[in-house]
Amino acid sequence: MFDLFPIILLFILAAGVRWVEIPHSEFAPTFYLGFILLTAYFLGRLGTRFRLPKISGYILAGILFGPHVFNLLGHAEIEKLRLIDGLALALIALIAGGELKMDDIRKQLRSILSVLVFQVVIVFVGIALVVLLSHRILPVTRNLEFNTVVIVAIFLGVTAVAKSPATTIAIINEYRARGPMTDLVLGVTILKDVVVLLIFAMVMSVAKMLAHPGQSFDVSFLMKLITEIGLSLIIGAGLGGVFIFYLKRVRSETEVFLLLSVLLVAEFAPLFHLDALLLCIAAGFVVQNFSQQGQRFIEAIERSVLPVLVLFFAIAGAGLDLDALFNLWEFALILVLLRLGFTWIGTYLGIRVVKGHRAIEKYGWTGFVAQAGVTLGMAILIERAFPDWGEELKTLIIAAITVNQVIGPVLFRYGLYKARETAEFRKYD
Amino acid sequence: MDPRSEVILILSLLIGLGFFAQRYSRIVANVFGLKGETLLGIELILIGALLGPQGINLITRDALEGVSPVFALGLGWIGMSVMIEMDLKQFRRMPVELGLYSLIASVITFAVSYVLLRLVLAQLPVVSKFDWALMLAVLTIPVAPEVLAARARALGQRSRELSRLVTLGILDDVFSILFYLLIFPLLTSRITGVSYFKNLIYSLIIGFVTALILNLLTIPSRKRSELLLILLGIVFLASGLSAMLGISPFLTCSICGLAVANSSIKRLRIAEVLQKAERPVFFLFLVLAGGLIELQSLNEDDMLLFTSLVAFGFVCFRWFSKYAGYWTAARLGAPEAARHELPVLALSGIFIAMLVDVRLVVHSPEGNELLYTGMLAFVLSMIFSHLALRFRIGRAG
Repeated sequence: MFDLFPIILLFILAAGVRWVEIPHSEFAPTFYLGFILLTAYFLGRLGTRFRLPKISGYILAGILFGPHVFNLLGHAEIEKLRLIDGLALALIALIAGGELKMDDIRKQLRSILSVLVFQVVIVFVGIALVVLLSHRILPVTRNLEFNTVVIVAIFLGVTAVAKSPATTIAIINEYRARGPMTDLVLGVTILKDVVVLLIFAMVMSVAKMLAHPGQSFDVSFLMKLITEIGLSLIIGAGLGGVFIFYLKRVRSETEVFLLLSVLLVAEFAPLFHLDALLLCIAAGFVVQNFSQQGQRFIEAIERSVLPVLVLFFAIAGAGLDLDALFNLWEFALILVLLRLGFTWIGTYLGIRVVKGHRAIEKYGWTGFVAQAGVTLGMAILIERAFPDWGEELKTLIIAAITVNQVIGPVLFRYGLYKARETAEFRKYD
Repeated sequence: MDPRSEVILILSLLIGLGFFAQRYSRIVANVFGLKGETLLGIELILIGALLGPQGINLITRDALEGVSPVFALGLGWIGMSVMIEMDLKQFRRMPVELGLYSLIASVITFAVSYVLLRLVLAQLPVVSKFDWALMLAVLTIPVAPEVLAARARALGQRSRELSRLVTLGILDDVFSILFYLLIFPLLTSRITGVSYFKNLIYSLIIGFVTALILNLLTIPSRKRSELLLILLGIVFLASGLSAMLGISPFLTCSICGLAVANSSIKRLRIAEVLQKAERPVFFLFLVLAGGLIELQSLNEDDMLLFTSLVAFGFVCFRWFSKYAGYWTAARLGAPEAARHELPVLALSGIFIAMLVDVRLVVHSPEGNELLYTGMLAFVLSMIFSHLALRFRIGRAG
C-alpha cells in the first residue's frame, strides 16, 4: 500500500492548488503535468496489487482527476497535454514493429490471416445485422428511414471491428509477453489496422452513395488510401534504414535521436497524408529483421518510453466521455457485449479452421477488446459526414469505446496469464 | 500549420540543431585554437535568437508560450543537478579553507561589483522598480569551472592545484545560488507583490516538501526509467507551483536538490539520472532562452546602446571584482586563488538559468532588458575568457 501514500499526498496538493486562488494560472499546465505523471504512475503500480495491468491504473488516474470526477484536469489542460499523443502512438508502433520477428510471423501466418478474416467478417456482419434487426428499439435508429438505418448499421459494424493497437502493444510490452498467442494478437492487430482503414474508406463511400442516390461509388478515394498505406510502409522502411545507419555508425545520444525522429514522424506524417502508426511499425520491423541492432533499438526506446506512455494513457483516460456513457449506458453495454461475443466467435473459428493452439482458441479474443483513438477518429469522421444523425451515433460509439478501453486491458492481461505467455511464466518454465 | 505541430516542429528542430551546433562548434573552436573547449551554449542561444520571433520567426511568440513547461523543466533540472552535488558530508571531507575562501571571494566579488555597478548605473537615466545593480552583482559570482577543466585536459595538465582550482569554481557556483536565494525575493517583491519573507519561505517550503516527496518515492528500488519519470514529475510539480506563486522555479528546485543531496540514500542514483538527461534538456533550454531575445526591440529608445553599455560594464566590473575577491582569498592563505584563471572564467549555465528565471517571474520590460544585457554579457565574457584562458594556461603550460 506504499503506492497509495504518494497518490493521497499529491491529490491533497493538487486539490489545494485548485482550491486556493493562484496568481499566475498560466503556469498551471506545468504543475498538472507533474501531478498527472506521478499519480498515474503510482495508480498503475497500485493496480498491479489488484491484478490489473498498469495501463488500467494510468487510465483510471485520467478518469479520476479528469473533468468528469475531481476536475483537477480541466478540458483546457487536457488539450494542452495532448501534445504527447502522437509521440506516444509512434513510439508504441516502433516497439510493435521491433517486436515482430519474421520467423515467428512465418510460423503463425496461417493463423493470423484466418483469425483476421473470420473476426472482420463475423464482427462486422454480426453487429450490422443485429442493428438492422433491432433498429426500431435503438434510440439512434428509431426515427430514421431504412436506407439510413443500413448506413448506421454498417458504420457500427466497421467501428466494432476497429481496436486500439496502442493498448494491445502496451500490455504486451508491460508483461514482456512472448509466445504464439502474443505473436498472433500482435500480427492480427497490425494487419487489422490496415484492413479497418480500407473497409472504413469503402463503407464511407457506400454510405454516401446510399444517402445521396445520385452519387457513384468513389473508387479514387480508395485508391488514394491504398497509395497512402503503400507510401507509409515504403517511407517507414526507409526510416528503418536511417535508424540502422545511426545505430551502427553514430551511436551517440541514441535515445534522443530516436525520440526526435519519432516526434517529427508522428506530427508530420498526417500532413503528408501518411499513416504514422504504419510508418513506425515498418521502421521498427526493418530494424529488427534486417540488422543486428534490434535489441539495442528496443532497449533504447524502452529506456525513455515510460513517462510518455504514462502520460498518454492518463490523458486518454481523462478524455473518455463519461457523460456519453451515463446517457447511453444500456445500449453501449449491449453493443460491447455483442462485440465481445462476435470477437470470441471470430477468433475461435479462425483458429479452429487452421487447427491452431488451444490456448489461442480459448483466450485469443481477449487481445482484441480495447478500443481508443482509431475508433474515435472514425466516429468523428462519421459525425462530420452525416451531421443529421452522426452526432448521436458518435455519442453511442464513444460510450462503447469508454467501456472497451476500461475492460480491454484487464481482459488481455487475463488472457496472457491463462495462456502462460507473460515473463513470469517463462522464468518458472 | 496548427500551433501544436508548430510547437512539436520547433522542439524537434531545436534539439536537432542543438546537437548539430554542439558538434560543429567544436570544429569552429578548434579553428580558433580553443581546443578541448566547447562554446558552452553561445551557439545554442544564437540559434534560438535567429529562429526566434525577431529572427526568421520560426519560433513564434505563441509557440514560446506553448513550451513554457520546457522552460520550467530546464530551470528546475539545472538547479537540481547543480545542488545535488552539494553533499555536505563530501564537502566536509574537502579542505575547509577552500569553502571559506570561495565564500570570502564570492562576498567580495558581490560587494565590489554591486558598488561599482550602482555608481555607474546612477549616471544612466534608468527609471526602474527593478534593482539592476543588485541583480547584476549576484550574476557576477557564477563561473564555468568546466571550461578550466576542459582546457587543462586539452593541454594534458593534471595537477592538485588545478583540481583545487576547479573545486573552487564549483563552490563559487554553489555560493552564487545561495546568494541568489537571498537576493531574488528582494528583487522581485516590488514587481510581483510577493513580500520578501513570504517569497523566501515559499521557496524553502516548496523545495523541502518536494525533496521529501522525492525521498519517499525513491525509498523502494526503482529502475532507471522509473526514476526518470519520478524526477520529471517532481521537477514539473515544483517548478510549476513556484511559477504559479510568482517565485523562482530555479531556486525551489535547487533547494530540493540540496535537500535530496543531504538526506536521500539514493542521492548518487538520482544525480546519475539527472545528469544523463541533462544534455537534451540543456540544449532545448538554451535555444529557447535565445528565442526569448527580441532583437528588433533593441532599436527602441536606445536600448541597444543601454544594454551594450551595461553588458560591457558588467563584464569589466565582474573581472575586476573577481580579482579583488580572489586576491583577498589568496592573501588569507589560498595560494591557488591567486592564479588568474578563475577570475577570467566565463559565465556558466547557472548564469543563463538565473536570467531566464527572473525573466519568467518578472513579466515586465525590465525582465526583457535584463535578458538582453545578460545575453550580451554572456557572449562578451565567453569571448574574453577564451582569449584570456588561452593566453594564461598556454603560458603556464
